[in-house]
Amino acid sequence: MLRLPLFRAISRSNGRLTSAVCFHNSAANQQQPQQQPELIELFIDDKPVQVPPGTTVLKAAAMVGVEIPRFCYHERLAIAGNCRMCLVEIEKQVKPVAACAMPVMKGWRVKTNSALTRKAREGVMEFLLVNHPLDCPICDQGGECDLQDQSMAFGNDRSRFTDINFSGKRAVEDKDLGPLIKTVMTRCIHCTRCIRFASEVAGVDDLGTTGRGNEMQVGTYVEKLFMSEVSGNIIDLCPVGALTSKPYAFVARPWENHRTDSIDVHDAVGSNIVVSHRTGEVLRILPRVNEDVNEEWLADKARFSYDGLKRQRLITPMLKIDGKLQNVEWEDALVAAARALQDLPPNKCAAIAGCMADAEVLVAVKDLVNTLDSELLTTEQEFPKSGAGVDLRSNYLLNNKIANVEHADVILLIGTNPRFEAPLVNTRIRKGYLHREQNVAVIGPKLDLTYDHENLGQSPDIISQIKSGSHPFCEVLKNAKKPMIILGADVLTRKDGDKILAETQSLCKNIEKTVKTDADWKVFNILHTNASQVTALDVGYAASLEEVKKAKPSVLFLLGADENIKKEDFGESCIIYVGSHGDNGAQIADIVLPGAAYTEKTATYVNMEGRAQLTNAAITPPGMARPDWKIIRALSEIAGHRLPYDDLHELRDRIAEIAPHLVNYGEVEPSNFLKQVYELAKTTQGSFLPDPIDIKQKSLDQFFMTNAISRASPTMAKCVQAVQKQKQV
Amino acid sequence: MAAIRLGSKIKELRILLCSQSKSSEGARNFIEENYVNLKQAHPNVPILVRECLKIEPRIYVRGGEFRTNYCHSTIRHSIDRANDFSEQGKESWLSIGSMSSTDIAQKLQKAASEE
Repeated sequence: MLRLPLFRAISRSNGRLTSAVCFHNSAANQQQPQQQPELIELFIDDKPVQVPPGTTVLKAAAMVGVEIPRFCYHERLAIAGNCRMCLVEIEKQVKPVAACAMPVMKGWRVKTNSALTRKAREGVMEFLLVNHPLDCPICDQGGECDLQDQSMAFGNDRSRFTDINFSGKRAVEDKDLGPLIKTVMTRCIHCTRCIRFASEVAGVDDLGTTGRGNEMQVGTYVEKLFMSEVSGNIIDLCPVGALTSKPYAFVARPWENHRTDSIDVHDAVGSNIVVSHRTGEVLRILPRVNEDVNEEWLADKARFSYDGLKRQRLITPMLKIDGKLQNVEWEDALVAAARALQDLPPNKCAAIAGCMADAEVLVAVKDLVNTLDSELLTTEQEFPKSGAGVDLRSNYLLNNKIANVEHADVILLIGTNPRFEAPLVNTRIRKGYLHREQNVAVIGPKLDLTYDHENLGQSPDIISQIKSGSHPFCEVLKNAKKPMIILGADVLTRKDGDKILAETQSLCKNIEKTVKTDADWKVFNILHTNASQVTALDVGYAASLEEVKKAKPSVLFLLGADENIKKEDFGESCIIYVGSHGDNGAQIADIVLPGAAYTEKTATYVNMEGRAQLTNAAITPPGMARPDWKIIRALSEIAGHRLPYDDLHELRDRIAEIAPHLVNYGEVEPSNFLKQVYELAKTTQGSFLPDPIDIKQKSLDQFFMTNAISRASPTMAKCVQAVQKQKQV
Repeated sequence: MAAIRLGSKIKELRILLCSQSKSSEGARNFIEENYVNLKQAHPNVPILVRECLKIEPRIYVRGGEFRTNYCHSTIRHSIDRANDFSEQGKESWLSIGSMSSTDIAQKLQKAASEE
């Protein structure tokens, strides 16, 4: 577990890291194209394979389809080599070797299924099981336990464990790691995956081992909350039942769950997830591998806030009668809403998109509002209208793609805290910092980003100083080969957001000129926080919040919009709330139309890099709630402005008429015309406000509850409480 | 070439194109040449440029009308919901596959200036 920090220390003292130092990480191997080293030939079970030098036996075996059993080895973590399960025989070698840590040699003949190998595995298995409790029937890992599976496949068929002295098995006290992770430390087999994950990926070096031999224990030494925003991943990493999910404890067995592939909408990363559900209830959420987006990790908010899907739900349409919201039938609610839409003068119907609105409802509402001769479409998190606005996609995307974040050599974060706004982008930056000596600087408040970074200050003037070359950070940028500027979406909601955007763009233009980046390397990037934001901008939610307020609309649609919206601003409007949760937005509404949450509808979401992805309906919406776009479609018919689509396919045809890349699922459409963006940025007038750049989510307790679903989640509330308690210690 | 003027009735302009294919070359040039001026002259009209690989380039206008529904490709698209909207939301589109930048500008000018 010390390998990486140690490695970093060594490379630092030797100056710049050169690729001559080879370490066994899948990501690291990609970046050594300078000279193709000669391939080494070896034989795995008599199958010849050619691999580059430095490849481990385990990886070489995987290349010819031979899987060697392992517990401690994980391809995204440093190699520990302490479980010994991957022992294999190599011809003419006296002892079996650990395949996960042994680099290959020329002409080796590896035998992964010989008598010696099998005997070694059986021995290791026996040692592991001697001190492993026999509590599989009550263990939550049952059915997805590596120890279970591998003892069946590779273990001995009889036991020598008799315990004649009735001394019992080794027992270890359970640790309290907080409200998310349940520990049964007696089950631990000391693979140290959780320790390596914490110190390498999460950047919270709290876990470690104490004691030696039979006394060895994994834990935090002093009782301590595992303060990380990606802590849930150690549950997936744990090969046994030592670390399991606390909210999922004793809930279900994996073989009786249904699994539905979906997309997470708690942040704008668009992590791929699997929704496990049974009997119309979401039981847990697990990550799904997507190398370009979330690798195989998942942030805690995405993983654990699913219990919020059952609370505070809007299950019937509601109308404000006598100043109180009262349950009514769909017919009454829709007729009341349609009545409000009759005979509207131009520009008197508005819509504000919330943070979890999908492309389908956004398009349906846009079409309806446009049919009513109104252009007042905006998002709750404002995007500056000046310059290219929503016209050119490169003006508002993370142009360089999430996967390329780790390849950058200099990153400047402006007004964003990726650790909490997009935890899985932050793990990429940390990866770049650990493996590629990335330089990171921040303009904004002091932050704990889990890696060393330089804080340049909080004033927006610093952007101009760097642009003009008077700031010391310019030197770093000048020597960069792959610089990235990442601008937070939240700072753009400031009054001087347009100026910050324009100034950052002209800074990027200067950098591109001096640094001579590759043609497809994009310096200018925006890190969004809302899952719906890019979708809304893509389909043309172009107005500003200020415009909407000024227009005093007669009818205002809130598409799950809960933030920044006050009743006072829309005193004369009839507010129609379409959404899944009874949050701030529904509270001020006159008509509430219950919609579906992301696990209950098949919907399109576009992440911050512009990748359109599809959620799938795992369960049905509760009560009388319906998929959001159907509500709008029904309303349009009653109001006499029938929208020309009756099912999802027809609606997607319409979406393709507005933005065809939105139905090109899974792909990122490269964004071009940055030149025009920069050109228009020059025309933006105004100056910076004196207020310092601030960030909403500064500490872990501010991370857990940021939207209607997570605010309704008891688990998230417990997390906030636990973090605040830990802070006082 | 004279700058394109959009009539006051034009609410939204959308240019859909492919970032690589030959048939979209004219559309790409059109944006390179005209977009900045057009946007500066009409800062309040959204001019959405939406790229998607392997699509037939098109221009959509909301509020204006292309008189001749010029269709270059031999396959007519079955998808055409833009015309189905009632009065105000009506959109009109034109396929601009393999058109030159000047042609596009002319066609757009004609559609956008009609009262």
